[in-house]
Amino acid sequence: MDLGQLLVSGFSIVCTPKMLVMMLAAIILGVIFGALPGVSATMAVALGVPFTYSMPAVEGIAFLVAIYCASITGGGITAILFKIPGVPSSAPTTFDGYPMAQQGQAGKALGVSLVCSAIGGMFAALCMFLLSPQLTQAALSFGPSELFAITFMGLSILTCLDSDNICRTIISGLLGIFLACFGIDPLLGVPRLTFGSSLLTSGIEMIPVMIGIFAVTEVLKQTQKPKTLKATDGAGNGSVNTSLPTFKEWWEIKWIILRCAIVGTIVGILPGAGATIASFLCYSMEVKMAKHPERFGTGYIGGIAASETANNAATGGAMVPLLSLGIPGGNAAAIMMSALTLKGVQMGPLLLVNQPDYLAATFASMAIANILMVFVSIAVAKVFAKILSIPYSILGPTIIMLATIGSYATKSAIVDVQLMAIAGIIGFVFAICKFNSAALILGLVLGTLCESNLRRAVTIANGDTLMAEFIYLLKRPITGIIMLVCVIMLLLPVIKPLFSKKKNKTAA
Amino acid sequence: MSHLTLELIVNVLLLAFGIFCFFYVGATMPASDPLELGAEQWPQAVLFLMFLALAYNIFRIIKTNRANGISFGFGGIAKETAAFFKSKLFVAMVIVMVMALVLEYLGFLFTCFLFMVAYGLLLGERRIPVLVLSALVITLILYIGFSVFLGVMLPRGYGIFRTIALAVEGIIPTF
Repeated sequence: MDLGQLLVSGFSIVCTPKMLVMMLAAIILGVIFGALPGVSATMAVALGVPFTYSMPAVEGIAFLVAIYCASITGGGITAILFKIPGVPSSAPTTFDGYPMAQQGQAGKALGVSLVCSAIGGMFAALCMFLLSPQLTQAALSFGPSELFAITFMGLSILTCLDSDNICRTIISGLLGIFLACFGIDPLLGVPRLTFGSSLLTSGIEMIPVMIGIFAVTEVLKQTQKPKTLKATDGAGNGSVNTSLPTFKEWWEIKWIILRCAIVGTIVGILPGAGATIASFLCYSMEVKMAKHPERFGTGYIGGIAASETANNAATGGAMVPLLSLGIPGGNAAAIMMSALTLKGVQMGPLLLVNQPDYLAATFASMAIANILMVFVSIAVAKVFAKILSIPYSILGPTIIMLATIGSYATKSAIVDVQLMAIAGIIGFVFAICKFNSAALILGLVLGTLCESNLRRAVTIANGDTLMAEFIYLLKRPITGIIMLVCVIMLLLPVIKPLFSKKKNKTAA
Repeated sequence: MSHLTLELIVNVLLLAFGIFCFFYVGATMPASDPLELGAEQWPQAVLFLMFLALAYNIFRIIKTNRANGISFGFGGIAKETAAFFKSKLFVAMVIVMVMALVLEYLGFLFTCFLFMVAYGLLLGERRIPVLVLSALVITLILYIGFSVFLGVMLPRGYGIFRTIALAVEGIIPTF
């Protein structure tokens, strides 16, 4: 079957009235689930599985893919409006989205977020359709050392998250990486830094800490210095006009979108990585590459574009190994795989040879879902924005209770709610001391991955001394190049001011 | 207490906690193979880097204070601490912590309602009927939305609180 026939086959499966209605329902569910803090994309897909029981397998995967894409997009809505990332991959969206909302540009921020999500998703879907087998083979050549280098690249954002407070930001990031060490050791399986408490055995969960630091801290700040939220476009009636940036503004961020779509897709394909790493990595990459990095974090549309393009591109990337090799690229893909296995579908390389319809239907579903979700998200965002017209004496505690549910829902554990409360208070102290909460979250997210991949890589390297093993790792071409880029990226913000000082002295 | 004084205290506390953890993790982890990166070496390496950054930050804080002629103001610490304990912010922190601690025992329904009322009062809402009604409506929306429709098992509490939560859940399908 050639590509043209495959495309027709895919769209003929998805473009039936029944399937379109089902997909619309999936997108509405996905966007709402994604926007609710604590309901992750994985949970959204899991909640959608029962709906697929009565569907043929190929329609089932199209339905689940639509929920998956929409939930990642939905996470950006609350990240922009309330500074509560609906899904962890939307955390970097808060850096620029929330400041824009505070400046009365919530509509514009949402417009950028939705369009960039759609572009990222479409790009990844196209890559998946055209290059699935080749991309999978390339990704499989990545070992632990390359994965460590990729994760370390994500951490290299630390020196430029707040260029005026590099030292405090590094401390925050290192603290995050250290907190990720609590719990069961990823390689030996023994408790580490648990201080004899069973509560710490499962480690410090990222979601309650993230929700506490972003949501509870914000409400505490509002309690101390109340100010009117104006996440609207001026009318003050809680309405959001999802206005798009001007053509000039789009033109300015065109390379950001393209770069993040490519990197997001590649990160999505890598097993164990995913949308969260993709969004953090792309945000850091764009800050480093920008001519004016100081604009990031102050309400710059490029920041939202980087994060949202990347996390949606990663959704398409995650489908590549699933369809080509039967290897789920992430948790949501694993749930999709189990739903299809229940229907007797054998995932793996032969699936695409014997039943290419699956690839075609997934592509068609992603393409249509990414277009439809822009409109659905606008409607959902309008409903969510109405909430902002509620007095803060009611909205503030409601945000904390939503955050409580979000923290509790992940593992149904009270300790996570307590962790959220503590994280909120510590986040507030951090804010006073000008430490960087985003850096702490970044360290917590990437710390475990970074450690486990480095330790695996060192074990595999098998040299005469530990140092020889490290040198061996750096000699691997991909690892060496990425690490070199990381070092340059890490040192550049520190060295740059020194050079400019010298230049100024010479000029004087 | 100036922000710089608070920052200095936080930095010193972090440094002390880090030093304790550095030795604790070394003492409690199994001895690692000389050719492997052991379970204790990664956190120790991270902590070592953090010590360097903290030491530099503490040095910088002291230098900035001296340069600006600012005293650390430890003299007024008792007065300012007392003021903090009387502040709205401290009460807010206490309410949030109490909510997190009683959630298991009172269940979501009662905790949410009481928290909404208490925090609303703290934020200056004086229309009690509005506050109580909105707290009730939001509690029910959240509970029904998440517990019933999304299947998130929210805590029901113990004893009478559990009985009431089950009764509320029992009413919903009859709507």
